[in-house]
Amino acid sequence: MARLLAFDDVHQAFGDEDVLRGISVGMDRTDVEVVIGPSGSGKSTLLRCVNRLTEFDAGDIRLDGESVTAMDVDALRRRVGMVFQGFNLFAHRTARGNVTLGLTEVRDIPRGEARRIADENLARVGLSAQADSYPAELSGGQKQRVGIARALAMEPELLLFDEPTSALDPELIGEVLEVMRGLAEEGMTMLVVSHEMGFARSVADTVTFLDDGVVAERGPPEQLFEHPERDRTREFLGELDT
Amino acid sequence: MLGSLDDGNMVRNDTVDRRSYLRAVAAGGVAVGLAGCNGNGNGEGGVEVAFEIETGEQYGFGVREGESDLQGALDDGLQAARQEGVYSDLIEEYFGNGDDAGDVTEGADGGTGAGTITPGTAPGFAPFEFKEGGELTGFDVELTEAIVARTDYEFGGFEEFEFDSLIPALQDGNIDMIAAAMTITDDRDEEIDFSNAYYEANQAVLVSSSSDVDPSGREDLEGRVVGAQSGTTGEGEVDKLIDDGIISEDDKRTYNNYELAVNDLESGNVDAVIIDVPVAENFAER
Amino acid sequence: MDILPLQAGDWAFVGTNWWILMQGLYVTVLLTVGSLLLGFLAGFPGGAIEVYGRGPLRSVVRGVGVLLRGTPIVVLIVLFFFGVPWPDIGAVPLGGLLPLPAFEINGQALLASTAALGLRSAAYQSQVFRGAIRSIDEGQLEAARSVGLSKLEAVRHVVVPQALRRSIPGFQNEFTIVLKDTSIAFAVGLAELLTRGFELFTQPAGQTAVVEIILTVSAIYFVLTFLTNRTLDRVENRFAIPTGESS
Ligand SMILES: Nc1ncnc2c1ncn2[C@@H]1O[C@H](COP(=O)(O)OP(=O)(O)OP(=O)(O)O)[C@@H](O)[C@H]1O
Ligand SMILES: [Mg+2]
Repeated sequence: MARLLAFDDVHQAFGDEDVLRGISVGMDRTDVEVVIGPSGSGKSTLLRCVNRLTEFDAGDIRLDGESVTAMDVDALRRRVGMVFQGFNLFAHRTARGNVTLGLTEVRDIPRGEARRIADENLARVGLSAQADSYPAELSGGQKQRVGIARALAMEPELLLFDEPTSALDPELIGEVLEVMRGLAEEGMTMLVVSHEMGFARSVADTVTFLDDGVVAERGPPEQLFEHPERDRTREFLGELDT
Repeated sequence: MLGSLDDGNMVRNDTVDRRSYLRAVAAGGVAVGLAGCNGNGNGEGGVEVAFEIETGEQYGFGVREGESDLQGALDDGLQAARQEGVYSDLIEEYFGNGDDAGDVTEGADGGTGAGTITPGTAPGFAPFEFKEGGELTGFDVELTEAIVARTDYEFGGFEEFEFDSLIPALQDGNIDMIAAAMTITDDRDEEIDFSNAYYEANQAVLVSSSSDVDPSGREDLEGRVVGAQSGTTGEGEVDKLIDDGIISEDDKRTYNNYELAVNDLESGNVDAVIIDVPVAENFAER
Repeated sequence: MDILPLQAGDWAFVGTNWWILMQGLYVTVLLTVGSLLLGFLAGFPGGAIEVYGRGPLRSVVRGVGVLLRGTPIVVLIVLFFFGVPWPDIGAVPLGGLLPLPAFEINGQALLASTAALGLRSAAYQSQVFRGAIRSIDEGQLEAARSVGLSKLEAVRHVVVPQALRRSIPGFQNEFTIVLKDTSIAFAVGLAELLTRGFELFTQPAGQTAVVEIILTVSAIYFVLTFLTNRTLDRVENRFAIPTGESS
């Protein structure tokens, strides 16, 4: 059986800056993969290539065996959810409205049914009481949980998280990680860019260290964190601790 | 009054921007409206014509270049209107005692075979053309009806335009003739053709009746503050006073609208206003 | 000496000629509404094309916008009136309702004025919308795209509703400008409010009533502007996006 997600020598450059220089990794269903790496190493670009918010230059990315470049882009995105560092909630819609938009417009679900599904997913992230609140009325942690509910409601096969907690105040990080931990337990396949070591240690199956557009090191969290093979990895982890 | 028409002259201002004045009123609201009218304006003081200045200009009806048939018909119609006394009745109505000239088409024996004439005018210039109770009237308006009735053309009703739009409207075929107190000038004659002159006018020096300013000639205006509607022959006369060293540049006032000029005269902000004679008479009589 | 030289007789003159001003008001409102509507229908897509469009379409929209904004409105009106072969729809009958006697206006002048004011307004409204669209952060569009909405759907459901709300203050401004500029229709003989006021004080019987007429006309413009802006304020508040600040 094909892997759920497979990168095959993916290259991407912006101008003459090579951001991804041959990425080849893969993950299976229910896998949780955490990507770490210094700023500018290409982590966001890597995620954005998966749902083609960035159209990569060369190589291939396959979802369940099928090349993403061959798929209809909207159909691809229906199958791959994304959660953003800056939440990117629709400011003019309530928490519920944020979730229903994709349901009614993309999945063509009738309004009433969409509301029900939205409320279900908001409950999943612990926000039943906030369904009628607008983004500006929510805390950062609540906003990010709406962002997760919005992605979940589309019933994606894969969820991409791009530093979901790095814009949050420290005391709000826990509630978001808690939701993600729950999803992992439910068997959601997740590709997560995050420097939350505790989360990576306890939830990730694999940790990838991306450096300067290449996979510098990759392995189970305990191995990568406790016994990194490369000096570069050790150096980076040292920077993270301080 | 009638005598003065023969050698007098009056120019219909063609560059005055009534629009800008009106827009300023709309934009600025009350303030602008009041600015031109402080003091006891509103005609309580009354104004009178001190003396007249001859300028030598004439009004004609405009027709499209080369429309000599219509041009000739208008000249003949004007001739007929003069002979039948309708012309002097209208002069009396609008510049004299005010008696209604009655039905100006009465007794006219023109036909309707030559087609319909749609004249154009620019109301807002009493007594030549203005609106009264929503209806267009005035010396030019009635004279045009009288003249067309004495031609083989049928009168098709007036179209109203801003003065500056009249020549384009004529050239474009929106209208067939201009009856708008339009001075015959060489510049205009290059673009359109004119009928024979139907009116001549002087510039009048208007002063406030209650003031001690009572000039009897240009020299008597020495040191006075003199106003005019900008762009008019009247303003040209003020400039001549400056050129001749009679008044100083600082004592010239211009207005976007002759009503405001006269208002300022009544409130004592200017000593004299130079303005077309029939219009001046109109103010002096009210 | 009175500070305000207002006289009872002149107010009476305004009173007896009230209906003439009302006919002018009718034309002014007609022109304003028609022009703003045309301006909106052309300006909103124009603004969207300036932000999202590509290639020649965007260049054309930009070019036309610059041209329309850079041309004095009076020139536009005269150009549209004399330069466009409008169908001859003759005279348009208006009024006839009880307090407002029936009257006619020149149909071609109405079309030309509405087109000129409307397209000029479109050129300005497109800039209002362009700014409003630009002010919506790109991330929301990406989020919508990420759940599978097409670009058009994302713009329609996420950007447009927010941009419209943010355009209201700019639109209020535009309304006031168009309302005042309707007086330029004077150039092609369309008797709107200001022209009617002008008609009144340039007739012999109205010559002493200049101030009274101007005050009245100004008051009508003021009331129009005030009421419309208040209404738009309410619309803005009604559809305001909660900011999370307790008010
Ligand atoms: N759309 C783009 N156009 C041009 N350059 C881009 C674009 N997106 C990313 N880059 C550049 O590519 C490089 C990698 O960016 P990317 O956002 O993938 O890094 P990152 O690892 O996510 O960094 P961070 O930790 O700061 O989020 C950076 O130098 C960035 O400036
Ligand atoms: Mg990033």
